[in-house]
Amino acid sequence: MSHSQRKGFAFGAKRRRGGQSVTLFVLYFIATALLVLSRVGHETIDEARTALSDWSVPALEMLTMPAHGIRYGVARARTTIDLLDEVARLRAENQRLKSWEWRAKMLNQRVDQLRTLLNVVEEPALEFASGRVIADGRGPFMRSVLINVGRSQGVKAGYAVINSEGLVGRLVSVGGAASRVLLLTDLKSRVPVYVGEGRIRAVLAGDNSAAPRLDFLPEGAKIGAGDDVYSSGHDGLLPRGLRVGTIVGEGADYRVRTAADLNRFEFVSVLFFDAPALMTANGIDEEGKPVAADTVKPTRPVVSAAP
Amino acid sequence: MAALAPLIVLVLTFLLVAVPLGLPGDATFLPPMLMLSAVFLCAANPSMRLPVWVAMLFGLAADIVTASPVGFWGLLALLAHGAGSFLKAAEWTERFGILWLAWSGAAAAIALVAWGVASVYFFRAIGWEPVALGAGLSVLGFPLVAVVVKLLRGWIPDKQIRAGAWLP
Repeated sequence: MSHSQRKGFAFGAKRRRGGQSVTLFVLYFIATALLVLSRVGHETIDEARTALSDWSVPALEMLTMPAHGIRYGVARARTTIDLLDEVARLRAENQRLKSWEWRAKMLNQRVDQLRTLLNVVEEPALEFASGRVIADGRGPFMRSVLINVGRSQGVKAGYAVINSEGLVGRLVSVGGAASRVLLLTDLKSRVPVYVGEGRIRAVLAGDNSAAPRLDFLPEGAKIGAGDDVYSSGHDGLLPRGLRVGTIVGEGADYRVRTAADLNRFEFVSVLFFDAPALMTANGIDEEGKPVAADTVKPTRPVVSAAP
Repeated sequence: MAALAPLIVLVLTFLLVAVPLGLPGDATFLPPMLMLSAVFLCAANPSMRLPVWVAMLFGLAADIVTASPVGFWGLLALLAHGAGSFLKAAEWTERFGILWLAWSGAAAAIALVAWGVASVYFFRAIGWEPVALGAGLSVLGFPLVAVVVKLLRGWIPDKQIRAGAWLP
């Protein structure tokens, strides 16, 4: 190999290395710039994320099928193994529920009579759209999931999301065919709640741990482990009376074990609750037209039945 | 066909990131870290070629499906690729033990960077436990990813395989 050829190869390799360094620098720059734009909440980033989530829905739905199948199979196997114990437990529970059914009927009659006496305006039943979890967004930074319910089903950002066990979270971004649900355990999740029979007001604050904490409890509030926690609706965003969980822990550090198992759930329902605050937040009226915040009117009477 | 092997490995590990596995909250850092270990492995493997931009694209896709700050996993994927490429350039890839040890170090460094970037991003010190747990478990899961790579290379005819004796 001649000297000029060797020189040529060396120059080529050097140029390739130089090109690779430039590529690397550009990629690191892009990643950092995206992080900064994501931090400042740039609209393009959010829109791109929502669009990509939408675009990936069919693929994610297809991919999650085997995972759901496996989970269903495991649950079925467990149920079969525990069948005898389960039957005994259900019999006991059935007995207990029968007595509660009778009491509920009596209470319902009494409530109906009182509502008639007070001339309370009936609240319309909440409509809902059900869907399935198609991607798990629970990471160290955000506790969220992607569901296959989107604008095409009529849902909007801010709507409450529940499953058969209780409140799961709320919608934070809505695409055409998919939406992201911010779970109750997320760092950014704040839900005003009632605690216990005394209906003590507090705020359920997620901190990325498994059990969110209770903030803004009044001093000397008489609550304890096992007390029920449910949504109070004081933020004007969530319906009142949604089951949230029960208190665990003692002392000043009260935590709430969520009624819904947020590590394992498959199906959810999105509640259509167009509260005034939510409409203002979305900047739209009942017909979907943009309105000024001061022109928003409540869609339902302020009087409502307590849970 | 051999060019597809790294892509298949990354797609398989990306599925772990995307699919709801029902892992406990503290273990949610594991699937993306396993994907990064695949990036590291493919970048270090002398018989594979994984362009750095492909690694970053997978990182960005992980950002989308895990709702992480956009660019976060992309940045970490670049680091994992850099670590793997360094080993390949230094020709320290002949023994699996060395590679495993190298991933242990890289995972620790990536976890530290992840914790730092996330803390700066959120303006608060985030919990280090899930990050450390994810990195630790990814070290334990590293041989599994290596086995997948080995299986794929068995399935895909590759006349250009020159090395790779380090694989289990």
